[in-house]
Amino acid sequence: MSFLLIQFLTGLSSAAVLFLVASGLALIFGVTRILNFTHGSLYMLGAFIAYTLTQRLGSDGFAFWESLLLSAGAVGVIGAGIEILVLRRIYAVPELFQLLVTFALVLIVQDVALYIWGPENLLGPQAPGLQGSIQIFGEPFPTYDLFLIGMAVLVCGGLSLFLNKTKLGILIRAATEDREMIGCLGVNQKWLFTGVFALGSALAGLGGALQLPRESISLSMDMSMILEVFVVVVIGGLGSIRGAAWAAVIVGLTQAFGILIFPQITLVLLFLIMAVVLSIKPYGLFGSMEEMQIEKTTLATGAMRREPPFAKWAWMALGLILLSLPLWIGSYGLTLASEILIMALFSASLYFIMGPGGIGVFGHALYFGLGAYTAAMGVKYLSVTMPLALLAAPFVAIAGALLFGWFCVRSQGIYLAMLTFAFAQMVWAVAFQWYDVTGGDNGLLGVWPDAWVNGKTAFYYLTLALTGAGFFMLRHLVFTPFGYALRGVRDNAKRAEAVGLNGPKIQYLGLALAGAFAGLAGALFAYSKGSVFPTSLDLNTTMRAYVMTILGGIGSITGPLTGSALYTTLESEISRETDMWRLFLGLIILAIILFFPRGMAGTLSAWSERRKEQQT
Amino acid sequence: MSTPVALQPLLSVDALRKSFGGVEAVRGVSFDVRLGQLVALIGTNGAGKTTTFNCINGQLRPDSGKVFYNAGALTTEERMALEQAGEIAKHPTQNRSDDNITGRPPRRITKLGIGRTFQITATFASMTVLENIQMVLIAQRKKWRRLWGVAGDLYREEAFSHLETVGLAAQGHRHVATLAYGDLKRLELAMALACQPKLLLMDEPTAGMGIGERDDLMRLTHTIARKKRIGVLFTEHDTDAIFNYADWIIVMHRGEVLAKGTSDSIKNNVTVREAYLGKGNDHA
Repeated sequence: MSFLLIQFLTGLSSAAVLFLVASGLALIFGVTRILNFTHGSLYMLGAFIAYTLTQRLGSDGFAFWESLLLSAGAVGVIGAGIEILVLRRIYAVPELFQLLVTFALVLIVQDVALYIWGPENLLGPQAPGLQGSIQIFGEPFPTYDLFLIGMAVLVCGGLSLFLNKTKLGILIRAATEDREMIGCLGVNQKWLFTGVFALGSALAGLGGALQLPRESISLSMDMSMILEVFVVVVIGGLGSIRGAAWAAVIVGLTQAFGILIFPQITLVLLFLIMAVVLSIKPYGLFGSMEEMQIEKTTLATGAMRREPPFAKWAWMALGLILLSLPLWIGSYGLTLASEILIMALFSASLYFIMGPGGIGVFGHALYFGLGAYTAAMGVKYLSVTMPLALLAAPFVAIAGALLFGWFCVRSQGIYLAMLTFAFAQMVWAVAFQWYDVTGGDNGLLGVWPDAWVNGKTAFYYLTLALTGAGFFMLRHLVFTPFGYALRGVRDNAKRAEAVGLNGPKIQYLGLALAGAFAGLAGALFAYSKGSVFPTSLDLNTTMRAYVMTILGGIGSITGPLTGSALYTTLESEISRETDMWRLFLGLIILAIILFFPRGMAGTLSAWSERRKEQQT
Repeated sequence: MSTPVALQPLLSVDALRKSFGGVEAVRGVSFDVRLGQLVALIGTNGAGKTTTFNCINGQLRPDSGKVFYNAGALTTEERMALEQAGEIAKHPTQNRSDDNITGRPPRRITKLGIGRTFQITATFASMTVLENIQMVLIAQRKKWRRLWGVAGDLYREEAFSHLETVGLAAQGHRHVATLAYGDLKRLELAMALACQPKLLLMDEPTAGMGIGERDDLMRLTHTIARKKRIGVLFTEHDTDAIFNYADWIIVMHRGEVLAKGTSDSIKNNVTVREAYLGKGNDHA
């Protein structure tokens, strides 16, 4: 009994940190409507800065607590800086671009933190006066954890007093309801946003700083925290502080007790709760659909036209170049070309679902990874031949899409994107933790093509044939009745329903179709590398596909092709010079989106306006 | 209870009630719509028009009351001809409960032959005018599952004929985004007609249009309703549109039906004037 109580308190203490960080995220989302990936990085910076400060100022008595508070303040200032320099420019762009920008910042912070603090895990000092443990019903419980619970209750109370009783707090709440109205009333929105961002960031920084006496701080803190915090705010309902508090408790307790029952799959458990909550309440415990519809800028691209007649010649020329490539490009170039083709197919499948489908997904790597693991495990355990593996991969990916998609299409917008992300992370966790079968982070090695294509040239031609076929099928799908239905649902869900189109069902099938092509790309990728790692399932893989798609232009399916060629070449060149590829990827994303202030969609619609003018 | 199909109206709303958290928006509303008729549902803002409307189209489920839809309905003229010939008795009968569509979701209601237009026009913005209609036809014929063929080649002639009906054929290849608002309204009408409806629900069809455009749209709707044997139920604020084109007017006030009747009887109804039309002559 007392053991359960201790476990309960342990759950609450992790809920306490979760709440501190999540409440900041909820606050920021409520006002700015940006789901901020950078929040986990701010949390990590809080811990690192607190570490440095305790080294400089000393770690006993007053100096320790001073360091913690200073660190939270510093992170608040960093947050304000990010808001002023970057986010302020992107409030009007589609939410997908906003997410991409904050993800770019995550990558940049990772490499900057690596540069400043190095790759080693750091161990901070104990909290003065709160070392050791106290006895609760005869069981020891860390005093500091008890302090954390108290701290969270204090912050929760303080926040609700601030939001309900002070004038500024009321303005913030009003801004979450109606930003435009607040502007009309003469409130300086600009600084309100900056202020909220600073406050939210400071909460993240405080959460990070408070972890210092509890665990060693590392460069992976950001991703692991942002995952948990996303789950918390999504379960609670985006933008709801009350929701964040309840969800933090639910998640904290589930982890504390889950670890007793399924120690290996706590991550899976986490996302399972989210999936269950969202399939019952598609907008979280305290969220509402109306809230999501405020000022939503969707990705709806302009008109899609069939290609002009000269395009045929361009395709033929490209085909000839690709066919003749092995004759003149050399071994390194040929490997690179194979990879470009594979990533182009993967990006094109993402384009299909986000362009014509209008659905932002953050877990598209799931299908790519499923395809890759299908091929690798088929070779490894069943010794299947390559044609069979390449055939099976898309079907396994479709099965995955049909299983997970069923939950996803019940939600919309960010919730849907987060659900796809959650499922991808679940499968990633399985691949990462199930050593006996997947090899964990050692991956599966020795996935080489069959003898008949085991030369670079032969494999290149096979890749060209399959990706080419997949690419043209996707390109054609956009213009089929199904492609139109997908676009119809994207253009106007209400009208689609009124003419008898079942929106969720169409999106569900769209996800499955896109998944199939991603699965094929994944299997080819496994063979081209000779190995598979859990990274093939992670967020970076999805983000790469996004960068390629947007880099090439989201107006047509040729975008992913040019984007893949540009990006893959660039990345491989840069990785020869430096290993700061994250910084590089992050800066590219920032550059693309900031230099097209209204996002590619805006550039695109300007382009289609011009076309229309020419026509009339 | 079994009655001849031919005698039943196209749409019957029976003692509809709906409240939102203690506020009774609709309190026992009943009326009929017959095939070939234009019926206007009018009243001040907050009278309960939209709630009634949404209970019919499936957006809302009423607390009590029923909505019947009779796909085998006849126009008044047809019915009278049958009666004179004494052939009503030979006509098929059916149970009233078969027609009960209360609380069905919008997509199911659409499939029964009930089309609709929205107060804020809802079209497929990335497509051309013609493609909008083709999309409707593809959806109606359940061809949306097809993963082959080119959608733009399907049902072109038929789609054009729907555009001709509303006078948009010349603009078929323009993009929806470039259309004038009045044309957008006509496109929406054509999209609703492409569903081959028996009943058309129009939520404030002339809202946001210029005066001349309003009259054009209402005249068009009127002609189409007669020619294609369609019953139209519309909510409206514009008195010209109401009195010039509605065959039957239902006036709602505070959740109840205040009066029903033809244009003339409503225009001269004292209670209606006090509650809605105002005491002046052309005050609306």
